[in-house]
Amino acid sequence: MKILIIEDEKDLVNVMCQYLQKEDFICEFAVNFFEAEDKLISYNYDIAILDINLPDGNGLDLLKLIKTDKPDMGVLIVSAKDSLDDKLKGLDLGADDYITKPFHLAELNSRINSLIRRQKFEGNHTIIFNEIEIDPNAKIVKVNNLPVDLTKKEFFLLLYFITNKNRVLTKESIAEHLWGDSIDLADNFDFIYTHMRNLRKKLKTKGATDYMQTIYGLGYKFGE
Amino acid sequence: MKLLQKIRRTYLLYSILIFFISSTFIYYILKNIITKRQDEKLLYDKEIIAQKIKYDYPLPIFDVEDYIAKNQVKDTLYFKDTLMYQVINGVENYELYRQLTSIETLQGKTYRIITRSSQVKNREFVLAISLSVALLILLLVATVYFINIIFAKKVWHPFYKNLDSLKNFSVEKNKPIILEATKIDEFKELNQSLTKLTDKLSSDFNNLKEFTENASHEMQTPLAIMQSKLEFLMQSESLKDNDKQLISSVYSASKRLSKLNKTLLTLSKIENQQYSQKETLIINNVINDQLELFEDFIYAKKISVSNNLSLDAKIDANPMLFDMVISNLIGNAIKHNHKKGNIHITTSDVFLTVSNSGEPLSISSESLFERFKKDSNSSESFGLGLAIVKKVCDIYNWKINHSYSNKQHHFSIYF
Repeated sequence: MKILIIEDEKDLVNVMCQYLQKEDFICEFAVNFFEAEDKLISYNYDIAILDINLPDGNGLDLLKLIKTDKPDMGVLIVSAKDSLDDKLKGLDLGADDYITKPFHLAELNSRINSLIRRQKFEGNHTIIFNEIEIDPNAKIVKVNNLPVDLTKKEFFLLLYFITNKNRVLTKESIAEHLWGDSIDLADNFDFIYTHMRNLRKKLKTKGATDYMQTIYGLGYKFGE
Repeated sequence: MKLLQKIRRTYLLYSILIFFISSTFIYYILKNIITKRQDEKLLYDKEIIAQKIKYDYPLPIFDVEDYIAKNQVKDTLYFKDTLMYQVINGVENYELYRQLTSIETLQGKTYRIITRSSQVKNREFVLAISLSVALLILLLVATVYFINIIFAKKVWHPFYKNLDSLKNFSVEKNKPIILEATKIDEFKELNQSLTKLTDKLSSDFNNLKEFTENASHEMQTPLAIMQSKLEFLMQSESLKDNDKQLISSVYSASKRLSKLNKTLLTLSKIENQQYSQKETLIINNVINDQLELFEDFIYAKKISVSNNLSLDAKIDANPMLFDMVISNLIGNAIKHNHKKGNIHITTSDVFLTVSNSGEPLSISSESLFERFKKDSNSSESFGLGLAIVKKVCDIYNWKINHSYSNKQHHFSIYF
């Protein structure tokens, strides 16, 4: 999977690249409009992560270019502007998703993965992690081929963990993923714990190994 | 009291006062003058009689009694008003006379000479003149008064018109103030100063808005870098527990900062009217959607939610803004509730009330809607949620208020 990150903040590009490379993505980046145009014409990418505000042009123009030349490329817009107008404009022009700065790297990864699933497998793709099998489209989870009955929140929690396996996920990032950032009750993370506990219990009763680890002071990690 | 009313009243009061004073004054002056003339006349008459006694002595017509001599009265001269009994055409009558009594020693004999003249005619004369002058003054006062009313209205018209424009002026509307032109210098100056003032106000306000938006905007990217790097750092295997704790608190602080930033940005966007498009929303659906989002929080606090929703209540508003209002009200109701508390939501076409159990406020209901104002026992929140709600209400001209009764907080919005 090749990803092109178009973003003028070099620091941000570096950290995004490092994170995504660990997920076995091939990452390239362009720090301005000109460079991005150049790379988009010369090479093929599966996904472009596009910042709308570039020093020498508007990212939306690049989006138009992508959609006319390479309609198969997935586009994820990243913007510091949390404006509905920009979002709608971007999505109208054919962007696949929109994420606002600042974002969690895990959230970015999760969005890219879901984009890839939609794009490459038309959603008919199951994610398999040892004995756990997830069908994101049908929202079915199986452990050792036995279906597990999960609530909506538990399902998304598991999917988020598996997409970002072996990563420390902060409570904040989990809360934002599950409830969106419009809800501001950050002083109470108990409910995450409740969902975690229920999810663990349900997976365990179907015979799954407990892959969830609590990382002291930071959050949770899913992995062997 | 209105300016014109005040002027009119003062004018009327002083006119009446002056009218009475001047009328009385004129009356007494006239009376005085006439009495003086009369006295002179009486003196003159007396003098003629005295001359007569002096030179035509002995007096042919008067038989002189000499009882005065016995009394040995000194020479005197005095005026007085006296009533004289008269019968005119068979009607008994007392008439007022002016009388001069003079005691004089002439040719070795003491005489008392009394001359008098009727005052009735003079009095009538004085009264007639005084009355007509008074009438004239009254007429003058009344005319000036009415001219004043009409004229004052005309003169002050631009003032009142501009006062209205000033009252309706709002920096948030971003429209320059339109003042009525006038030929009066003072009003012209006032208009110029007002225009200058409001222009300055508008430009300052816009600068401030722009600054807030730009500042928040520019902060997003560095914050994104900070957070991403911290998240990246967290993945490191070699972190000690101590380091983890440190990273975690820096991370939380940066999260809080970015949340604050986002909220401020939202506020300035609402102010900049960036959410202008409207849709007809079914209030119930919005509330139910939000309650579903808050499900976990409600469950975690074991709060019971009841409602009395009018099924087809609709509202014309921007969907994002209305979501924000409902989300903030419900979020608040949960946040400031105690365990096993309750929330009650009532809606209708004209109002919406969210009530919840909770402790009384430590600040006043009014300041609750101000930015960064928060109850002292909720340190985690920014105190911006209700400021957003208020801002949205202001934009749509809705009225919002808070009350506390029976250990219940009530937030009501009247559409």
